[in-house]
Amino acid sequence: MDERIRGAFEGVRAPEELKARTAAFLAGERERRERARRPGLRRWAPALACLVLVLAGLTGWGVSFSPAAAISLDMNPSVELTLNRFDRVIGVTCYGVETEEAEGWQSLRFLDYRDAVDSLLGSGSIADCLAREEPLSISVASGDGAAQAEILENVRACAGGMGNVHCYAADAGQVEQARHAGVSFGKYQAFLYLQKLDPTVGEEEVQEMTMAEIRQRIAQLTGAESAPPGSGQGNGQDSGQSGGAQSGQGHGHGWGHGSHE
Amino acid sequence: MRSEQEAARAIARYGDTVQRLCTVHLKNQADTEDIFQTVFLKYVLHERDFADEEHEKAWFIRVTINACRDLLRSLFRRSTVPLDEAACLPAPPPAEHREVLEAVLALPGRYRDMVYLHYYEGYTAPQIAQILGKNVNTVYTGLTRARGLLREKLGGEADG
Repeated sequence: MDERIRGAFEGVRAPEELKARTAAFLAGERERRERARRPGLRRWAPALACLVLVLAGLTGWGVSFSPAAAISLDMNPSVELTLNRFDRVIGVTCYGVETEEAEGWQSLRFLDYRDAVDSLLGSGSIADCLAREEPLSISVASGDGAAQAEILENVRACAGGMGNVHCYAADAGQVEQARHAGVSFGKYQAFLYLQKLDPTVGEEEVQEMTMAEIRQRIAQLTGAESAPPGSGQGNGQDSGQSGGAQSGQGHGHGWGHGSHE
Repeated sequence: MRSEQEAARAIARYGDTVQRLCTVHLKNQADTEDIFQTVFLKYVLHERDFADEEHEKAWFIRVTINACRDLLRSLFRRSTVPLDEAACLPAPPPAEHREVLEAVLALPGRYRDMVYLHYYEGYTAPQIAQILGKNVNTVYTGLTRARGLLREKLGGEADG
Protein backbone atom coordinates (compact mmCIF):
# COMPACT_ATOMS: atom_id res chain seq x y z
CA MET A 1 0.00 0.00 0.00
CA ASP A 2 2.84 2.40 0.89
CA GLU A 3 4.45 1.93 -2.47
CA ARG A 4 1.21 2.33 -4.36
CA ILE A 5 0.35 5.56 -2.58
CA ARG A 6 3.89 6.87 -2.99
CA GLY A 7 3.82 6.00 -6.66
CA ALA A 8 0.44 7.68 -7.13
CA PHE A 9 1.71 10.97 -5.64
CA GLU A 10 5.03 10.66 -7.43
CA GLY A 11 3.14 11.11 -10.68
CA VAL A 12 1.75 14.45 -9.53
CA ARG A 13 4.20 17.21 -10.48
CA ALA A 14 3.96 20.92 -10.90
CA PRO A 15 3.85 21.81 -14.60
CA GLU A 16 6.93 23.72 -15.79
CA GLU A 17 4.65 26.48 -17.17
CA LEU A 18 3.17 26.95 -13.71
CA LYS A 19 6.64 27.25 -12.20
CA ALA A 20 7.64 29.76 -14.89
CA ARG A 21 4.47 31.83 -14.40
CA THR A 22 5.01 31.85 -10.65
CA ALA A 23 8.63 32.98 -11.09
CA ALA A 24 7.44 35.78 -13.41
CA PHE A 25 4.72 36.75 -10.91
CA LEU A 26 7.27 36.97 -8.10
CA ALA A 27 9.62 39.08 -10.25
CA GLY A 28 6.72 41.44 -11.04
CA GLU A 29 5.75 41.65 -7.36
CA ARG A 30 9.35 42.37 -6.40
CA GLU A 31 9.58 45.19 -8.95
CA ARG A 32 6.22 46.63 -7.92
CA ARG A 33 7.17 46.64 -4.24
CA GLU A 34 10.58 48.15 -4.90
CA ARG A 35 9.02 50.85 -7.07
CA ALA A 36 6.51 51.61 -4.33
CA ARG A 37 9.35 51.90 -1.84
CA ARG A 38 11.28 54.33 -4.09
CA PRO A 39 10.57 57.96 -3.37
CA GLY A 40 9.19 59.63 -6.44
CA LEU A 41 6.59 61.94 -7.76
CA ARG A 42 4.11 59.10 -8.26
CA ARG A 43 4.36 58.14 -4.63
CA TRP A 44 3.56 61.68 -3.57
CA ALA A 45 0.95 62.24 -6.27
CA PRO A 46 -2.10 61.75 -4.01
CA ALA A 47 -0.63 64.04 -1.36
CA LEU A 48 0.29 66.63 -4.02
CA ALA A 49 -3.19 66.45 -5.51
CA CYS A 50 -4.69 67.09 -2.07
CA LEU A 51 -2.27 69.98 -1.53
CA VAL A 52 -3.23 71.54 -4.87
CA LEU A 53 -6.92 71.25 -3.97
CA VAL A 54 -6.34 72.81 -0.56
CA LEU A 55 -4.29 75.64 -2.07
CA ALA A 56 -6.91 76.23 -4.76
CA GLY A 57 -9.57 76.34 -2.07
CA LEU A 58 -7.55 78.72 0.08
CA THR A 59 -6.79 80.93 -2.92
CA GLY A 60 -10.45 81.03 -3.87
CA TRP A 61 -11.38 81.77 -0.29
CA GLY A 62 -8.69 84.45 -0.10
CA VAL A 63 -9.83 86.11 -3.31
CA SER A 64 -13.46 85.98 -2.20
CA PHE A 65 -12.67 87.66 1.09
CA SER A 66 -10.01 90.14 -0.03
CA PRO A 67 -11.26 93.73 -0.13
CA ALA A 68 -11.06 95.17 -3.64
CA ALA A 69 -13.20 98.29 -3.27
CA ALA A 70 -15.28 100.18 -0.75
CA ILE A 71 -18.39 102.34 -0.87
CA SER A 72 -19.10 104.83 1.87
CA LEU A 73 -22.56 106.32 2.35
CA ASP A 74 -22.34 109.32 4.65
CA MET A 75 -24.96 111.51 6.20
CA ASN A 76 -25.73 110.67 9.77
CA PRO A 77 -25.38 107.71 10.12
CA SER A 78 -22.58 106.44 7.90
CA VAL A 79 -22.26 103.00 6.40
CA GLU A 80 -19.23 101.59 4.66
CA LEU A 81 -19.53 98.58 2.35
CA THR A 82 -16.39 96.57 1.59
CA LEU A 83 -16.51 94.74 -1.74
CA ASN A 84 -14.54 91.83 -3.13
CA ARG A 85 -13.44 91.63 -6.74
CA PHE A 86 -16.64 89.84 -7.64
CA ASP A 87 -18.73 92.89 -6.68
CA ARG A 88 -20.04 91.19 -3.58
CA VAL A 89 -20.32 92.93 -0.22
CA ILE A 90 -17.94 91.20 2.20
CA GLY A 91 -18.10 93.69 5.04
CA VAL A 92 -20.55 96.23 6.46
CA THR A 93 -19.17 98.82 8.90
CA CYS A 94 -21.60 101.21 10.56
CA TYR A 95 -20.83 104.53 12.23
CA GLY A 96 -23.33 106.36 14.42
CA VAL A 97 -26.04 103.78 13.86
CA GLU A 98 -28.36 102.23 16.43
CA THR A 99 -27.23 98.71 17.29
CA GLU A 100 -30.44 97.13 16.06
CA GLU A 101 -30.23 98.77 12.66
CA ALA A 102 -26.49 98.03 12.40
CA GLU A 103 -27.24 94.36 12.99
CA GLY A 104 -29.93 94.49 10.33
CA TRP A 105 -27.46 95.94 7.84
CA GLN A 106 -25.17 92.96 8.32
CA SER A 107 -27.65 91.06 6.16
CA LEU A 108 -26.28 93.03 3.22
CA ARG A 109 -23.17 90.85 3.28
CA PHE A 110 -22.70 88.69 0.19
CA LEU A 111 -25.24 90.74 -1.79
CA ASP A 112 -24.24 92.40 -5.04
CA TYR A 113 -23.21 95.97 -4.10
CA ARG A 114 -25.93 97.44 -6.37
CA ASP A 115 -28.61 95.57 -4.44
CA ALA A 116 -26.98 96.56 -1.16
CA VAL A 117 -26.91 100.28 -2.10
CA ASP A 118 -30.51 100.08 -3.32
CA SER A 119 -31.50 98.51 -0.04
CA LEU A 120 -29.72 101.17 2.02
CA LEU A 121 -31.22 104.04 0.03
CA GLY A 122 -34.70 102.60 0.18
CA SER A 123 -35.11 101.77 3.85
CA GLY A 124 -34.09 102.55 7.39
CA SER A 125 -32.53 105.72 8.76
CA ILE A 126 -30.76 106.64 5.50
CA ALA A 127 -34.08 106.62 3.64
CA ASP A 128 -35.60 108.70 6.45
CA CYS A 129 -32.79 111.27 6.18
CA LEU A 130 -33.19 111.39 2.40
CA ALA A 131 -36.90 111.96 2.87
CA ARG A 132 -35.99 114.97 5.04
CA GLU A 133 -33.75 116.12 2.16
CA GLU A 134 -30.58 115.83 4.18
CA PRO A 135 -27.51 115.60 1.91
CA LEU A 136 -25.99 112.16 1.34
CA SER A 137 -22.44 111.63 0.12
CA ILE A 138 -21.55 108.37 -1.56
CA SER A 139 -17.85 107.87 -2.12
CA VAL A 140 -16.23 104.97 -3.94
CA ALA A 141 -12.63 103.87 -3.33
CA SER A 142 -10.68 101.19 -5.16
CA GLY A 143 -7.10 100.52 -6.13
CA ASP A 144 -8.32 99.64 -9.62
CA GLY A 145 -9.24 102.83 -11.49
CA ALA A 146 -11.44 101.06 -14.05
CA ALA A 147 -13.34 99.16 -11.38
CA GLN A 148 -13.73 102.35 -9.37
CA ALA A 149 -15.21 104.19 -12.37
CA GLU A 150 -17.63 101.35 -13.05
CA ILE A 151 -18.77 101.12 -9.43
CA LEU A 152 -19.17 104.88 -9.30
CA GLU A 153 -21.30 104.79 -12.43
CA ASN A 154 -23.50 102.04 -11.02
CA VAL A 155 -23.86 103.76 -7.67
CA ARG A 156 -24.92 106.94 -9.48
CA ALA A 157 -27.51 104.88 -11.30
CA CYS A 158 -28.79 103.53 -7.97
CA ALA A 159 -29.13 107.07 -6.63
CA GLY A 160 -30.58 108.41 -9.86
CA GLY A 161 -33.57 110.65 -9.30
CA MET A 162 -32.82 111.23 -5.62
CA GLY A 163 -32.12 114.78 -4.64
CA ASN A 164 -29.21 115.77 -2.44
CA VAL A 165 -27.13 112.69 -3.21
CA HIS A 166 -23.53 113.36 -4.18
CA CYS A 167 -21.34 110.64 -5.63
CA TYR A 168 -17.60 110.91 -6.05
CA ALA A 169 -14.43 108.88 -6.30
CA ALA A 170 -12.26 108.68 -3.20
CA ASP A 171 -8.61 107.97 -2.55
CA ALA A 172 -8.26 104.26 -1.85
CA GLY A 173 -5.15 104.91 0.23
CA GLN A 174 -7.20 106.83 2.79
CA VAL A 175 -9.65 104.03 3.50
CA GLU A 176 -7.30 102.51 6.07
CA GLN A 177 -6.51 105.88 7.61
CA ALA A 178 -10.23 106.51 7.99
CA ARG A 179 -10.62 103.20 9.82
CA HIS A 180 -7.87 104.22 12.24
CA ALA A 181 -9.66 107.51 12.78
CA GLY A 182 -12.88 105.64 13.53
CA VAL A 183 -14.95 107.22 10.80
CA SER A 184 -16.14 106.17 7.38
CA PHE A 185 -13.77 107.11 4.60
CA GLY A 186 -16.38 109.42 3.08
CA LYS A 187 -16.48 111.34 6.32
CA TYR A 188 -12.71 111.16 6.57
CA GLN A 189 -12.38 112.81 3.17
CA ALA A 190 -14.68 115.57 4.36
CA PHE A 191 -12.59 115.87 7.53
CA LEU A 192 -9.38 116.24 5.52
CA TYR A 193 -10.96 118.97 3.44
CA LEU A 194 -12.25 120.72 6.54
CA GLN A 195 -8.87 120.40 8.24
CA LYS A 196 -7.23 122.16 5.33
CA LEU A 197 -9.61 125.04 5.83
CA ASP A 198 -9.34 124.93 9.61
CA PRO A 199 -6.19 123.17 10.88
CA THR A 200 -7.50 123.27 14.46
CA VAL A 201 -10.14 120.65 13.67
CA GLY A 202 -9.11 117.22 14.97
CA GLU A 203 -10.28 113.68 14.29
CA GLU A 204 -12.01 113.34 17.66
CA GLU A 205 -14.03 116.47 17.00
CA VAL A 206 -15.10 115.21 13.60
CA GLN A 207 -16.16 111.86 15.05
CA GLU A 208 -18.80 113.71 17.02
CA MET A 209 -20.00 115.79 14.05
CA THR A 210 -22.65 114.75 11.55
CA MET A 211 -21.98 115.06 7.86
CA ALA A 212 -24.45 117.94 7.73
CA GLU A 213 -22.45 119.77 10.41
CA ILE A 214 -19.18 119.17 8.57
CA ARG A 215 -20.73 120.49 5.37
CA GLN A 216 -22.05 123.47 7.23
CA ARG A 217 -18.58 124.25 8.66
CA ILE A 218 -17.02 123.90 5.22
CA ALA A 219 -19.67 126.16 3.75
CA GLN A 220 -18.99 128.75 6.45
CA LEU A 221 -15.25 128.63 5.86
CA THR A 222 -15.36 128.72 2.08
CA GLY A 223 -18.53 130.59 1.30
CA ALA A 224 -21.39 128.94 -0.48
CA GLU A 225 -20.01 129.65 -3.92
CA SER A 226 -16.71 127.93 -3.42
CA ALA A 227 -18.03 125.06 -1.33
CA PRO A 228 -16.65 121.72 -2.44
CA PRO A 229 -18.72 119.40 -4.52
CA GLY A 230 -21.17 117.46 -2.48
CA SER A 231 -21.28 120.04 0.26
CA GLY A 232 -23.77 122.39 -1.25
CA GLN A 233 -27.44 122.28 -1.99
CA GLY A 234 -26.62 119.69 -4.48
CA ASN A 235 -28.51 118.35 -7.32
CA GLY A 236 -26.92 115.16 -6.35
CA GLN A 237 -24.51 113.99 -9.00
CA ASP A 238 -21.10 115.53 -8.49
CA SER A 239 -18.09 113.96 -9.98
CA GLY A 240 -15.17 113.62 -7.66
CA GLN A 241 -12.64 113.87 -10.43
CA SER A 242 -13.84 117.30 -11.44
CA GLY A 243 -14.45 118.37 -7.88
CA GLY A 244 -10.77 118.45 -7.07
CA ALA A 245 -10.12 120.84 -9.89
CA GLN A 246 -12.97 123.00 -8.77
CA SER A 247 -11.51 123.49 -5.34
CA GLY A 248 -7.96 124.11 -6.33
CA GLN A 249 -5.14 121.80 -7.29
CA GLY A 250 -6.69 118.80 -5.75
CA HIS A 251 -5.67 115.52 -7.18
CA GLY A 252 -8.82 113.92 -7.96
CA HIS A 253 -11.57 113.47 -5.48
CA GLY A 254 -14.66 115.27 -4.48
CA TRP A 255 -13.28 116.92 -1.39
CA GLY A 256 -10.46 118.68 -3.26
CA HIS A 257 -7.79 117.01 -1.28
CA GLY A 258 -4.74 118.98 -2.30
CA SER A 259 -3.36 122.44 -1.91
CA HIS A 260 -5.95 125.17 -2.17
CA GLU A 261 -4.94 128.53 -3.43
CA MET B 1 12.52 40.32 0.50
CA ARG B 2 14.34 37.20 -0.72
CA SER B 3 16.32 37.33 -3.96
CA GLU B 4 15.19 36.06 -7.35
CA GLN B 5 17.70 33.19 -7.08
CA GLU B 6 16.29 32.07 -3.74
CA ALA B 7 12.77 32.16 -5.17
CA ALA B 8 13.84 30.07 -8.19
CA ARG B 9 15.55 27.52 -5.93
CA ALA B 10 12.46 27.24 -3.72
CA ILE B 11 10.13 26.78 -6.70
CA ALA B 12 12.40 24.04 -8.08
CA ARG B 13 12.68 22.30 -4.73
CA TYR B 14 9.16 22.64 -3.30
CA GLY B 15 7.00 23.23 -6.38
CA ASP B 16 6.00 19.57 -6.64
CA THR B 17 5.20 19.39 -2.92
CA VAL B 18 2.93 22.43 -3.20
CA GLN B 19 1.31 20.94 -6.31
CA ARG B 20 0.60 17.63 -4.52
CA LEU B 21 -0.92 19.33 -1.50
CA CYS B 22 -3.09 21.40 -3.86
CA THR B 23 -4.17 18.17 -5.55
CA VAL B 24 -5.15 16.80 -2.15
CA HIS B 25 -7.29 19.85 -1.36
CA LEU B 26 -8.37 21.57 -4.56
CA LYS B 27 -10.32 20.63 -7.62
CA ASN B 28 -9.01 22.89 -10.35
CA GLN B 29 -5.78 24.24 -11.73
CA ALA B 30 -6.78 27.92 -11.47
CA ASP B 31 -7.06 27.63 -7.68
CA THR B 32 -3.81 25.67 -7.64
CA GLU B 33 -2.08 28.52 -9.47
CA ASP B 34 -3.48 31.02 -6.94
CA ILE B 35 -2.12 28.93 -4.07
CA PHE B 36 1.21 28.49 -5.85
CA GLN B 37 1.67 32.23 -6.18
CA THR B 38 0.42 32.90 -2.65
CA VAL B 39 2.78 30.37 -1.06
CA PHE B 40 5.89 31.43 -2.93
CA LEU B 41 5.10 35.13 -2.42
CA LYS B 42 4.86 34.43 1.31
CA TYR B 43 8.21 32.69 1.04
CA VAL B 44 10.00 35.62 -0.63
CA LEU B 45 8.46 37.97 1.94
CA HIS B 46 9.42 35.65 4.84
CA GLU B 47 12.74 37.10 5.92
CA ARG B 48 13.48 34.91 8.93
CA ASP B 49 16.02 32.17 8.33
CA PHE B 50 15.09 28.50 8.55
CA ALA B 51 17.04 26.25 10.88
CA ASP B 52 17.57 23.62 8.15
CA GLU B 53 15.98 22.14 5.04
CA GLU B 54 13.54 20.05 7.06
CA HIS B 55 12.36 23.16 8.84
CA GLU B 56 11.97 24.93 5.50
CA LYS B 57 10.03 22.01 3.98
CA ALA B 58 7.70 21.81 6.98
CA TRP B 59 7.10 25.56 6.63
CA PHE B 60 6.07 25.09 2.97
CA ILE B 61 3.74 22.23 3.85
CA ARG B 62 2.08 24.16 6.67
CA VAL B 63 1.70 27.37 4.65
CA THR B 64 0.30 25.47 1.65
CA ILE B 65 -2.27 23.58 3.72
CA ASN B 66 -3.35 26.78 5.46
CA ALA B 67 -3.61 28.64 2.13
CA CYS B 68 -5.76 25.82 0.70
CA ARG B 69 -8.02 25.88 3.76
CA ASP B 70 -8.35 29.66 3.54
CA LEU B 71 -9.30 29.38 -0.12
CA LEU B 72 -11.87 26.69 0.59
CA ARG B 73 -13.33 28.75 3.42
CA SER B 74 -13.59 31.84 1.24
CA LEU B 75 -17.21 32.82 0.76
CA PHE B 76 -16.40 34.04 -2.71
CA ARG B 77 -14.90 30.82 -3.92
CA ARG B 78 -16.55 29.54 -7.03
CA SER B 79 -18.46 26.37 -6.39
CA THR B 80 -18.24 25.15 -9.97
CA VAL B 81 -15.42 24.67 -12.45
CA PRO B 82 -15.99 26.53 -15.74
CA LEU B 83 -15.33 24.51 -18.89
CA ASP B 84 -12.34 26.62 -19.92
CA GLU B 85 -10.75 25.98 -16.54
CA ALA B 86 -11.50 22.30 -16.72
CA ALA B 87 -9.28 22.26 -19.78
CA CYS B 88 -6.44 23.56 -17.59
CA LEU B 89 -6.47 20.62 -15.23
CA PRO B 90 -3.04 19.00 -14.96
CA ALA B 91 -2.30 15.91 -17.01
CA PRO B 92 -3.94 12.84 -15.42
CA PRO B 93 -1.61 10.42 -13.69
CA PRO B 94 -0.81 7.09 -15.36
CA ALA B 95 -3.65 4.54 -15.24
CA GLU B 96 -1.97 2.28 -12.63
CA HIS B 97 -1.76 5.18 -10.17
CA ARG B 98 -5.06 6.83 -11.00
CA GLU B 99 -7.11 4.38 -8.97
CA VAL B 100 -4.94 4.85 -5.86
CA LEU B 101 -4.92 8.61 -6.20
CA GLU B 102 -8.68 8.71 -6.64
CA ALA B 103 -9.10 6.55 -3.57
CA VAL B 104 -6.91 8.91 -1.51
CA LEU B 105 -8.74 11.98 -2.81
CA ALA B 106 -12.05 10.31 -1.97
CA LEU B 107 -11.06 10.10 1.71
CA PRO B 108 -12.62 12.60 4.13
CA GLY B 109 -10.65 15.84 4.03
CA ARG B 110 -9.28 15.49 7.56
CA TYR B 111 -7.47 12.24 6.58
CA ARG B 112 -6.04 13.28 3.24
CA ASP B 113 -3.21 15.45 4.59
CA MET B 114 -2.26 12.74 7.07
CA VAL B 115 -2.12 10.07 4.37
CA TYR B 116 -0.05 12.24 2.05
CA LEU B 117 2.36 13.34 4.78
CA HIS B 118 2.76 9.84 6.16
CA TYR B 119 2.84 7.68 3.05
CA TYR B 120 4.50 10.05 0.60
CA GLU B 121 6.60 12.47 2.67
CA GLY B 122 7.43 9.84 5.29
CA TYR B 123 6.56 11.90 8.38
CA THR B 124 5.78 10.10 11.64
CA ALA B 125 2.54 10.68 13.51
CA PRO B 126 4.15 13.07 16.05
CA GLN B 127 5.73 15.07 13.21
CA ILE B 128 2.39 15.20 11.37
CA ALA B 129 0.69 16.31 14.58
CA GLN B 130 3.20 19.15 14.87
CA ILE B 131 2.79 20.26 11.25
CA LEU B 132 -1.00 20.11 11.30
CA GLY B 133 -1.34 21.42 14.83
CA LYS B 134 -3.28 18.36 15.95
CA ASN B 135 -3.10 15.97 18.85
CA VAL B 136 -0.78 12.97 18.16
CA ASN B 137 -3.53 10.50 19.08
CA THR B 138 -5.85 12.19 16.62
CA VAL B 139 -3.23 11.60 13.92
CA TYR B 140 -2.82 7.94 14.90
CA THR B 141 -6.58 7.47 14.82
CA GLY B 142 -6.89 9.30 11.51
CA LEU B 143 -4.18 7.23 9.88
CA THR B 144 -5.75 3.99 11.12
CA ARG B 145 -9.18 4.92 9.81
CA ALA B 146 -7.77 6.15 6.49
CA ARG B 147 -5.86 2.89 6.10
CA GLY B 148 -9.05 0.95 6.69
CA LEU B 149 -10.96 2.98 4.12
CA LEU B 150 -8.20 2.57 1.53
CA ARG B 151 -8.08 -1.18 2.18
CA GLU B 152 -11.78 -1.38 1.56
CA LYS B 153 -11.44 0.43 -1.76
CA LEU B 154 -8.17 -0.89 -3.05
CA GLY B 155 -7.98 -4.22 -1.31
CA GLY B 156 -4.76 -5.80 0.04
CA GLU B 157 -2.78 -4.99 3.17
CA ALA B 158 -1.75 -1.47 3.99
CA ASP B 159 1.74 -1.20 5.36
CA GLY B 160 3.01 1.01 8.18
